[in-house]
Amino acid sequence: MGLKILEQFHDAELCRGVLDRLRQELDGELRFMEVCGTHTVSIFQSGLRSLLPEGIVHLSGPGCPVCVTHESEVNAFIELAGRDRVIIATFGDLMRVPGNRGRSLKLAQAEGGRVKVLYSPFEALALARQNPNHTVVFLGVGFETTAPAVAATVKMAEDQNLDNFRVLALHKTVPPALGALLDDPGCNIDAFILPGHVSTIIGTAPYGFIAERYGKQGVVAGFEPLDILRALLFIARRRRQGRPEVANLYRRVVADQGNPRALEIMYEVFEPADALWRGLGLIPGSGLAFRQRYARFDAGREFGVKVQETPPLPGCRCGEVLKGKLNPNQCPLFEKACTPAKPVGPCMVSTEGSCAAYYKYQVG
Amino acid sequence: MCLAVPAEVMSIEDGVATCRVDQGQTTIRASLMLLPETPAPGEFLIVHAGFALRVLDRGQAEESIRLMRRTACPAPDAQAEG
Ligand code: SF4
Repeated sequence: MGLKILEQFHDAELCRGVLDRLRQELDGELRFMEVCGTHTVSIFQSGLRSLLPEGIVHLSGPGCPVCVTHESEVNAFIELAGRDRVIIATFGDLMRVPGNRGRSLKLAQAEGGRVKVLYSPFEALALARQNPNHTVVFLGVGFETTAPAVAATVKMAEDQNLDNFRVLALHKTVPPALGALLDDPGCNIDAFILPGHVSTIIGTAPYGFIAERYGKQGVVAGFEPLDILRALLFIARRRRQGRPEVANLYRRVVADQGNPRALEIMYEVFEPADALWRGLGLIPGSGLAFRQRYARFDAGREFGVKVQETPPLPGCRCGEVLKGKLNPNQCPLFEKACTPAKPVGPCMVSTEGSCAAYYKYQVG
Repeated sequence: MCLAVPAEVMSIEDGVATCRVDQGQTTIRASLMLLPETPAPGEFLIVHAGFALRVLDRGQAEESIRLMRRTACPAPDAQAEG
């Protein structure tokens, strides 16, 4: 039987039907932003972008954790990788993200830094056991999808009495970033397609302010073309009816209340803190810092890591791209100085980045 | 980085599920530590970075397809949702 039911979520005829309804419902320009790298890729890869009715404007927001990792955070990774008796453990996507002067973890590794790419944070525990004379620092980057996995790993390290495992806790949470975008008068957004996997953890309640405070729409949607079209149809209808709403149209994966167990573990280990986003700056309450009880796992505290605003990378317009103010192909470096093979900014590094998606699918 | 894949549970041992992905081409292991419920073999998990985040709700998947078929159908009473 397999996943037969899921195959129906890219049924071309059904897509055409929903697209027709969408055209009928549309009452003017509709600027929607997705805030998830998987949505970005899906919208381009499926060809959906070119099928959208005129008047629907797709903006790709700060939905890729790699892209919003601040230069200053990347500088901290590189600095840590150069320390004696430290092994950096990280997800592979962070390897090529540029910090200052084009430096990256990949370069640090080539220069002798100990950097190990892992699929899961819990692999860092085995790495720590195998290297008792080193401190293994896992780079805690990612949204609410990833933070519970890292928190669970910290709890495992505690159970196993591992004293050479640390986490550099730089996780970011999505709802405060959406609030910051809505507060920015230069960001002209009518609706959000909300991130599917982040919402699996947090549910729909934390997005309520989008409708209540700002009178905008927000829909939790899956990643198939049909999921995205259905979300747009819902948004268009609600707008025509003058009924702003935050809705969950991805119930096969997202429960309205999220995953309470994952949230409990995440908030047992971490607490809300301010965080610095690349391009967006400091957003109050949008990060996750170690709680006192788990402070001994905090690499930031142990190594005195300071993350602070630095001048942006010269010429890179990632900040405006991440806010939906500029399309990637409007950046003067796009396709010229900046390509996936030689990225200047993080939005071109990550396969989920807007600039990389634009480049790969040859838009504009 | 937020990529999560649906994976079919084959067996469970010590809180870790061995699952099939890519139509059975590959197997992965997923910790069940973050799940509020214990899944059964044959169910699908949404797996991210070695941890299962949620059991896929097949009933809800079928329900959304049914709603969308109604929405896309040109009949005048096709106000399936919204
Ligand atoms: S094209 Fe390159 S330099 Fe321009 S915004 Fe994108 S990543 Fe930055």
